[in-house]
Amino acid sequence: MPDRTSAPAIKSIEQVSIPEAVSVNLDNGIPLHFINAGTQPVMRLEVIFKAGKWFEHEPGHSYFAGKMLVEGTEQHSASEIATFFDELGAFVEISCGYDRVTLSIHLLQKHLDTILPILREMIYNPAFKLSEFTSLKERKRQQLAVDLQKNNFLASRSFTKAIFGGNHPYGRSLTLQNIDETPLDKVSEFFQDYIRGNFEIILSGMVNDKHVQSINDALGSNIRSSAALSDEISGTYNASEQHIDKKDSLQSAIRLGMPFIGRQHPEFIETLVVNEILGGYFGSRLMRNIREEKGYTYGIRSVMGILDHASFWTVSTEVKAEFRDRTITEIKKEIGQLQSELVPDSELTTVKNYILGTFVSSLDTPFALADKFKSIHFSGLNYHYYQDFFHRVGNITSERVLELSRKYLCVENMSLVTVG
Amino acid sequence: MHLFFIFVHSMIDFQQIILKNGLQVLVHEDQTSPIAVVNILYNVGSRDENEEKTGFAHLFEHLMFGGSVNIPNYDTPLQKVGGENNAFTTPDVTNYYLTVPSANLETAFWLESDRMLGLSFDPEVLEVQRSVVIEEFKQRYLNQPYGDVWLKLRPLAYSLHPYKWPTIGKDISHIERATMEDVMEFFHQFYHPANAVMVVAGDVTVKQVQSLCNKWFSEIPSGPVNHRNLKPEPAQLASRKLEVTADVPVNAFYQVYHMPKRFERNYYRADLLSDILGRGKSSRLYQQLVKGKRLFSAISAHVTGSLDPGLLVIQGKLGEGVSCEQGHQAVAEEIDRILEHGITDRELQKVKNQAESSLAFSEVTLLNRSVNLAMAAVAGDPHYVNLEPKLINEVSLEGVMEQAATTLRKENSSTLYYKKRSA
Repeated sequence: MPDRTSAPAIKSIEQVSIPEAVSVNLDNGIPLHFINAGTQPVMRLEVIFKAGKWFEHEPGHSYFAGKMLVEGTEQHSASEIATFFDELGAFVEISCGYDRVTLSIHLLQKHLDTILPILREMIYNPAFKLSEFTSLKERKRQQLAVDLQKNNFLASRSFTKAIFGGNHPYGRSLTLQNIDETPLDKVSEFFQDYIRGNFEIILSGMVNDKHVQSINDALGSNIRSSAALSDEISGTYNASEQHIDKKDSLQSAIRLGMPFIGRQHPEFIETLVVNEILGGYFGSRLMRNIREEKGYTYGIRSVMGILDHASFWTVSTEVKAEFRDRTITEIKKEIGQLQSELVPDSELTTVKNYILGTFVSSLDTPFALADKFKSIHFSGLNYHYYQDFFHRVGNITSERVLELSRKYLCVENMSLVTVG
Repeated sequence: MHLFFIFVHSMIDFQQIILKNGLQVLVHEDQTSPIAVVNILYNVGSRDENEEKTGFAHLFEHLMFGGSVNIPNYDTPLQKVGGENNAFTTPDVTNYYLTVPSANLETAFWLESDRMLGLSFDPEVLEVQRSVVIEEFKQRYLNQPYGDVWLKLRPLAYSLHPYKWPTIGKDISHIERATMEDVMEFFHQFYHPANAVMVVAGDVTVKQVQSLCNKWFSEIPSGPVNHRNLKPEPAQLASRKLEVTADVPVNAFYQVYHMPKRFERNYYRADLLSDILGRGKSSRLYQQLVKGKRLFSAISAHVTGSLDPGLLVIQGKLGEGVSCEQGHQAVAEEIDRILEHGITDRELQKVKNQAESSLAFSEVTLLNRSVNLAMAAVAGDPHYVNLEPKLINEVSLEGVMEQAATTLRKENSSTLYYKKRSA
């Protein structure tokens, strides 16, 4: 029988070299970043427009302008486009975020050349047909009506509003009324101002020079437009508390958090370790306390939301309604403990190795490598960030964790939202 | 090697080791990154539960993280070597998986073998996980609009087969009443080497895995092989219908049809049929009912893909002011259109291309390849994993039509109207 009572020797986690994206410019100056990796004959083509919520004047303009890209072009109807991609087994998705609108296509490598001409139509000449727009609005309206019944959804909305303010583009959220009142001309105007010709491309998977050439041939000729600029908004933040009562809720959704430093900040990487200890992974203090010891919840976690113009930090959970207040007290207690007692060595070692080990595992696919590139690229950083990441995570001390918890996790500065 | 690759699908290479205690081990080498996956699938799902004690397979998944004979806590030692893990339970199986830097592979063997050997059976762990599962039940099934759909649909579609209750359980009181005795009995019956498949994949070698298996798993005593003797679901002879009313924003429509089990030839016919009906925006139901008649705001079709005969599912949200009856009528017309006028070669080629692409994408991550291998093994033969492309590609237009005539019969259907409570 092997000795089962003690763990096998631990090998330290070696820093790995990350396959890097290669950046080139198409003939018209549009940046193309590509990553050649993976063993399956697949690729992901992402067209990323700098046209997220941040740029809108009314909620919904960015969302609808983005979604209309697949709803028909001057040459092809929405149905024809859907059939075209389905027949190639390609998956098209448009995600509309705070800072960017991303059109991504998952495809078999062999179909890239076939897809490009249609993609070109979609991003340069979408039709903005009223019938498609009306139908899109109806679908969005129904989806939103369903989401508005979810405590979690309501809590997230109210929380971003509490952090950024109701007049800030990050803090505003789409209402049913907004949907009804959004006119098509404003949406196509948003497309002209922010989306058309204002993008970067990221190609990941089994990529070769021929693919890069094909993209240049298809998308390298139109003039690159310079997008309209928007002003930086400096709102003032004040901590607040809000409870939204929902009768008959079995569970309450909780959000507790505040504005936070962004990825470019020299202490950001170390705060990742602090966050991890508190609520970043399955073995975190919050998870152990609220789920594994008390059984109040199925899950609780803390995360950073990194945006281009402002970032935030939040603890989120859904708990048995009767334990709502007790859970909030426990969250604050755990934060207090991080600020008053040194993290034991063994816990810190676990967290460091966990962060570094899962980082290495997360480099498994070409798409994950592209995501790693996006994280640094859109924060204005380069691959040095990941070397720095390994170094800083590997070397952080318990004293430093204490210091950073005091500096960044100030409970008086946190806003609280509860729903249900 | 067989010579049938019209698809771009590449083989998942693997070697098989069977230990004396019956543990089936599959090794899939891939040295691309310095990581390893250990996936252990136990051949037990909610279909193996006693009808009076449902939700056990899933509760058990939680208990497996509550400490084993020699190791008080499963997660921390794994996290300490840079690993992460999770698990899932289905009506068919319970699957545990972890990813670890390959240099620390042995820690995974130490942890997994100890919990196969035995659990701590700590009463406190049972109490806490019982509460966690009850919260999970609320979060996923009760506190969401439409969250309880499968609690209603399963017993409607299945009258005898244990697929009639969902993995979370038929009634949460079963979990509330679970005793430590029940837990121990369940463990001894299902958690042992002869009832498991282990896949070790990634930056590993067969020789290394062989030696680690000998060291950590070979001495674990075996138990009874799970020879199921489940009541087969009798052929459905008349259509069934259920209506519920709840505080939901819009009416929803669900319809299910009995169909063949996974890895069987006719399964792929039914699978492609469901794709023609409702996969993606170019599918018939979407084009006709969302885009054309605008009766639905969303509609799709899929198959459950279970190891015993499963279901072809059609589900949709009705447009504002459209009744479930109207939606039902329109879906029935689309089904009749298929039965009367057939499908086109172009449609069949389209869904085959979609399937080809899905397979390629499902094998991008090492973890998915491992899970796919384990599922094929538990279904009877790990080689199934490489046979699926052939089975899909062989489906003919006539085959789909034959299947449509068998599956899409009214008598074979169960329909659920999920109605919005009127204000």
